[in-house]
Amino acid sequence: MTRIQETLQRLRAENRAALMAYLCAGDPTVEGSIEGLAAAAQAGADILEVGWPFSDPVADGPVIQAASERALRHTRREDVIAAVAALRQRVAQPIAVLSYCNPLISAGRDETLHVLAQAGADALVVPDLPMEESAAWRQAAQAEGLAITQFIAPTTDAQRLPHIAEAADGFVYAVALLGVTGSAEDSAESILPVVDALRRHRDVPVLAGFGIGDGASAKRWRSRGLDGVIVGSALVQALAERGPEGVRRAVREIRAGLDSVG
Amino acid sequence: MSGRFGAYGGQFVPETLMAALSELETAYSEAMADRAFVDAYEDLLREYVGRPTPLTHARRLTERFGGAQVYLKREDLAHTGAHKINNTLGQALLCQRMGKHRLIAETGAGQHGVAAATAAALLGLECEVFMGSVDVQRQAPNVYRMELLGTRVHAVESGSRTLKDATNAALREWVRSVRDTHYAIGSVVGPHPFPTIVRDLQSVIGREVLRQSEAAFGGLPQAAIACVGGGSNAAGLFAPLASTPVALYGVEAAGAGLHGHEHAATLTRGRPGVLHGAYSYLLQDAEGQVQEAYSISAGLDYPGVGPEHAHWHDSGRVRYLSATDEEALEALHLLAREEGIIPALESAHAIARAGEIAQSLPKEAALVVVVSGRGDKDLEAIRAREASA
Ligand SMILES: Cc1ncc(COP(=O)(O)O)c(C=O)c1O
Repeated sequence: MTRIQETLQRLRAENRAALMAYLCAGDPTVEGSIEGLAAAAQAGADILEVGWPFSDPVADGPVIQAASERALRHTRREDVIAAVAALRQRVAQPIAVLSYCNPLISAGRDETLHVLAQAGADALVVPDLPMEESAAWRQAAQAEGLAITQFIAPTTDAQRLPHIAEAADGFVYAVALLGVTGSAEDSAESILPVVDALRRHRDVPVLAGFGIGDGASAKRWRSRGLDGVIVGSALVQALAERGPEGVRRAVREIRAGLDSVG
Repeated sequence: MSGRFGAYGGQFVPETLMAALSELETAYSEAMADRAFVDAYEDLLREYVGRPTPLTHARRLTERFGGAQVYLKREDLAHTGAHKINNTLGQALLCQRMGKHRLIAETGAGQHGVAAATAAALLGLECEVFMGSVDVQRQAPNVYRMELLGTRVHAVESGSRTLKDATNAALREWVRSVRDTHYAIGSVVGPHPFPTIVRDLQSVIGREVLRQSEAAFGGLPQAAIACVGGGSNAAGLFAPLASTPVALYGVEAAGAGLHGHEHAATLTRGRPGVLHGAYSYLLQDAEGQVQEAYSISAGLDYPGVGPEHAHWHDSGRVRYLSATDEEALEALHLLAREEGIIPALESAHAIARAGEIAQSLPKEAALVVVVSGRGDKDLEAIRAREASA
């Protein structure tokens, strides 16, 4: 069993929700982002998500766009890989890497997957890689023991769900709203039926992300039956404003919201 | 529809958009099989755009070059002043057919934005256009034209503040509003099925060239040439000619020169990667970060290129050349003085390479050059540049 499967299975057995914490590698510095994610782990995050900054983050809202722009001023490919390796030394939690396709394929996809796996990554979250494009990626990733995350969205067509369920590895990322990361409103009424339909094909853990930024919203998603939540923009902002301590506080608050659901 | 051109193309987009792309593919296939839809589109091209656009024999330019007979395909005479309207009318009709009431678009030079705003006004659709703030400055008259047409223009302040970032902004807006909004992309770029749809809608250029060549000189031209930004006027010329022996040339923007980074010569200097939903050539650094393109021409100032061009490039069916800012400006003056036609700066790149190709061919041969648009939108930028030189 992989580290992610093990973590999610244990949380289910304990009837606890999973919290995945995102920060952008290199924002404000490579060291600062490692400290931020380590703080998140300490405060109760179950999975860490290391963002690979990219020049054209089309799925991201203004907060993560700005973090990515700041990071790109000084962050190189080797820094992202080093950040993963440094975190692997410091924490026991599974590590996912969020990257758009292009930085991953630039030096050769399979080579990059290998290097990330060696550094200690457990999964890849690639927002511009839908199921249809992911077959070759999954094959290459599997050889490295890496999971390629599948997505569902409020607009996902029912006919594609069996294939998404079959391709799923670790957890499925449920896009909780129509929009980019960091948006305010959610689209619960349209994503929840998709989650249910997916689970009828396969009982795979589903984490909701996009627009979830505090204990109240995390609690809402937990009580809607999701296996957990993914928090990005709110932590990026907390780190920018108050450093690792800000991240720690934000994660604790979200953790408390999740744990308040019986 | 396969969605791939050799290795290139695909659908590298957020999951939220996958349903809209498949809806669009279905709507497009059904529309093209529906005589009433095709008639409505062709009526608009005839009665509203003023098609067919002429194929003008450029006699003085031919003499000046001293080679093949030069014929100009006059997209500058299409309503709104560029080929972009061929695409936006088709996509606006598709938008209506899908029951969506709102059109969004990205624009660089503003020509696609104006064409989208025009189609939206004609068909009673809401329209919003995303434009990099640098381009808003460079192409101020087009911003005002869009506003007159009832469109809201958003100045995009992220990244390089040009077409690449306007496209990011439009994609983000589409993710938010996908249920009631159609994204009318402006070139043969983006995820499948856009490169195919836009190429098909622009192919009226190449089909007319075939017919008009037959009438003007009784056969095929020896060569045909068009400028390449995203590549839609070129794809519209090339697609109907690809199965003929006509030599095909695309001209990219070499900006300040190919030696540094100040150019937009994607096929000449880039390498394959993923941007805006497609796998194609891309100007990028060694680590896969997309680089800012540069050209005096806002419509060519884009670090990507349509995936079918990537395929034509690799297969050798089309040769891709480039022209610098200086060469394009010179060509603009040349066409203005010799033929009384002020081309768009984009189109001037094609004219800049036409001379050498004409000279390499005998006088009995014919060379078709697409004048993709007229230069009115560029006059202020050219005047400012020449005043400071
Ligand atoms: C007149 C004109 N020609 C060419 C282009 C470049 O686009 P494409 O390569 O898609 O034809 C533009 C883009 O704005 C344009 O306005």
